[in-house]
Amino acid sequence: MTSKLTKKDIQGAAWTNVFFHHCAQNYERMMGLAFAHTLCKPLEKLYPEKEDYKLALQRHMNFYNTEPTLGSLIPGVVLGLEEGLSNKADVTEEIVLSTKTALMGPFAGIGDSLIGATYMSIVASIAIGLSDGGSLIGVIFFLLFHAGVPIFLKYWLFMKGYELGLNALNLITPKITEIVTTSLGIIGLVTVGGITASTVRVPVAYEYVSGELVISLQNILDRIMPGVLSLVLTLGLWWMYTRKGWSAIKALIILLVAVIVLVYLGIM
Amino acid sequence: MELWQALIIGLIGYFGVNRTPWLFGQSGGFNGIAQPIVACTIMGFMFGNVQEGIAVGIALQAMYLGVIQPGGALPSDRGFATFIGGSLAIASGGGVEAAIALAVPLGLLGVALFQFFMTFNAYFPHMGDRAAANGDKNGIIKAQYLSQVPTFIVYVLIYTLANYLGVDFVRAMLDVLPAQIIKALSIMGRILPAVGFAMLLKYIVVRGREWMIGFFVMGFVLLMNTSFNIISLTLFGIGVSILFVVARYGAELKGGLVGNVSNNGGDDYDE
Repeated sequence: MTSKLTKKDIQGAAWTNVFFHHCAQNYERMMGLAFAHTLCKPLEKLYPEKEDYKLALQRHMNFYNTEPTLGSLIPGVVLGLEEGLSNKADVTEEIVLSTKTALMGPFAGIGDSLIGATYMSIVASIAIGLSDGGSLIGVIFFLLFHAGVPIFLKYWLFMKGYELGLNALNLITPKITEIVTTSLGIIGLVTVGGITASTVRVPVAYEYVSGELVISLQNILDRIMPGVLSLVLTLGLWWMYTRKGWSAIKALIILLVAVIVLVYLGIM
Repeated sequence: MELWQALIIGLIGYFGVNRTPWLFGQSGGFNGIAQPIVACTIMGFMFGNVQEGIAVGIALQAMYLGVIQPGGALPSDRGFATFIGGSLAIASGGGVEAAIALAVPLGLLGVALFQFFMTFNAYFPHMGDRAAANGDKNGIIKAQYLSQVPTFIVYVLIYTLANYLGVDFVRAMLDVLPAQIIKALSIMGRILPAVGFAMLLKYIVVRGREWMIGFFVMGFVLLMNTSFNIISLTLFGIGVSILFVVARYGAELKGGLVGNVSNNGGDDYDE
């Protein structure tokens, strides 16, 4: 089976992803528009029928968000799967979409912990050390490894992802998808938990004062469990998103108002 | 500071917005030339004091060490700290202390602007939707390019003006802000990332498998209450994942799935 896509088409999409993955990022779709942008040219070749092409573009306009460096694998995989779908191989639209959504969460968690919290910090620490005392070597080292290596990785992972997507065509069964999703999902959830713990803080300033007696609410909360409010807040938002259909924008506005009121009242 | 110098700072500052695509996307700008250690060195060259530039650059870089940008939100905006706080300190020769003193409140204001754009930019995918419904790829590309216009205007304007008007003007503006607003901004900087994390949870925890949220709680509790760091936690997560998959699917995997998977490279995902 010869591919309808030339190597140039894939490379073009890989570069579009490198340049544009965060363009127009927003709380409603995050990187969703960029995903459609990345795939729009190769998809046009895969779907010569205008109606098919419209549907293909529309299904990649959805919400999409991940850590962009490791996550560059995902648009590649999806392009490989789309090629199978356009060839009427054993791929359905559902498989394409569920693979995309199943991968983005775990890759966000794992990517944030490995790339964001670890690799980038190590590079920055070394660069600070090298430039301490006014040397330019640290600055050059920083540009090479903090900017250069991720650019290369994003391109390479997209190309690898495409091959992987094509090769996985005959392999993907619902069972395999379930196992891959579950195992990656567990790693993703554990790391997202850790990153949430190190990032989100909900400070409480309120103190109950009665004569000599001062009871700090924060102390009581810490005795229940350190970080209990951040955990409750994140789980609460997750519940509102899944059960009450809250959007991220709605959550943002409500939190904004709540913080202003609580700070004004002296509780935070 | 001369107007042309302020304008150059404004332009580099625009490249430091994480959405700016022109310089290899986020990598070349936000994670490249606009990071404090690089940008402050460039500004040092511009103001004829490279040593001062590097010194301010590494001080600001150290301030943001280990700060990641989960779900888009930073607790404090590096751009405002670098392209107003850092640049003014280098230009005025105020040194590292001046830079850091300005960086903290400015970083908080930068977050507010960032949150504004993360909301405002929701307009552009709707433009993309209309193009997609017509099978018009150029419309999608146009929506992406157009989304840069407001960001470009606002960031270049703010950075250029703040630098041109100088350090006294910026201090005066910061002093006008009530302490409560600064406090509210700093609290929001630490609370709002939860909006993004919870959205991630929604997409990892599939309907009908809500029990998986337990793994999130486990990761949270371990990092908060033990001396685990993020790498040990990731390795621990891999271990738990293997245990779980073997326990849950081990019997089925023996039935032949394993041979299939490992021969075709598809197992890159496993573990």
